[in-house]
Amino acid sequence: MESWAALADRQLITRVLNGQPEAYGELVRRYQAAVYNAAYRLVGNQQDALDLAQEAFVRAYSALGSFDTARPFGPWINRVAVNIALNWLQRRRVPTVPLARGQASAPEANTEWQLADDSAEPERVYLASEQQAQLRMAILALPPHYRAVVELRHFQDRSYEEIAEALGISLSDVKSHLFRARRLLRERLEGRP
Amino acid sequence: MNHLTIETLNLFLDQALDTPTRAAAESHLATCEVCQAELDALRDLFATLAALPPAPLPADLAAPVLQRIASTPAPIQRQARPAAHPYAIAALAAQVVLAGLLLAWPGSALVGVATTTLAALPQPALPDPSAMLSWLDGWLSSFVAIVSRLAPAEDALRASPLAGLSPAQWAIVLVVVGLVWLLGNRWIIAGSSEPHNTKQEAA
Repeated sequence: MESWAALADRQLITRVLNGQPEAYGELVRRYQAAVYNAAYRLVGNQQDALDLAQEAFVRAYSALGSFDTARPFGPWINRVAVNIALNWLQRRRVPTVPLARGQASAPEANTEWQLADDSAEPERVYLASEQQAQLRMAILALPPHYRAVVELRHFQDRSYEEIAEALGISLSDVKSHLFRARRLLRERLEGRP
Repeated sequence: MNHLTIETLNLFLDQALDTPTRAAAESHLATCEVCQAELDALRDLFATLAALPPAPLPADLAAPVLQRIASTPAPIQRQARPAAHPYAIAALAAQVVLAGLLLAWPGSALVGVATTTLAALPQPALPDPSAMLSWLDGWLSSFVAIVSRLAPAEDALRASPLAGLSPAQWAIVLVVVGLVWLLGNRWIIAGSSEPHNTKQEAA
């Protein structure tokens, strides 16, 4: 049995296109954490994020025939996930989650926060976890398109032009969404109304 | 003092300012505590976002994805469309030019009409009518000589098996033949695999 782990992404894609779909499993294993996290940061729910990540991989599989193997697979599948999550949010017309203390049980924020560092002192761990929780809630409080530009810029390190292309919006819209999103995040994290 | 705009501060941290603008912003930041404080706050936000750790993956996705794609048609690699061959472009251009010439072909039967018509055109009042007449006569003679030299080509065309076709019909035949040739060589309808396909997102 061939060791898929020893193959590069491009080689795995070639195997898939040559009739070995099981090679796609290795691609999934390599990028599932990143894809899941992209969806999770956008939708704030573990099960929804898993479903959307799975959908991203399935749709990407169908589009592999037209994928340019000269480009890296990782950024592409992450962008697919962002678009799928964004479309899902827009179809559901999910309202932004109002950020306020005690809102952790809101439906869209049904999350399980993980401890940042098990070996740290309890108070430091709590503070780190609390800050992460506040940040996640602040991101979920943004309108879907703002969340998407923040995700692509700050978590996928995409340029303005790449974000515009990925989301199908103008460059000026990218800047407008991004700058406004940052202002809203700052206001929420600083406790300003 | 005019402060830097929020947009400028964002572009500054995103490394998206051109060199002169960035230099001006740096110069301003060196002397403006308000703008420096605003920049520091924005930078802190960037750091906070960057420090957010990824959430652990709750479940493996490989098995369910493989199960779903088992019932999905296998992806087919699209053939890259070959770039238009220069000879094909030149051949098509030659066909278009030839078709145009044939459409505009006066024909030997029309040379006489053209000559007579030109000669019958009212001559404008000129300071030296005799010089103009001499020039016009010379031009007409040259025109007739050129057309006469091309007459054998026309005769050859008319002697071909498709002698019944008019020049306009010849032009149409040439264009159709050219299109059939291009289609047959897939230079028009072949699939493409562009290096940067903006439609690659599956969603």
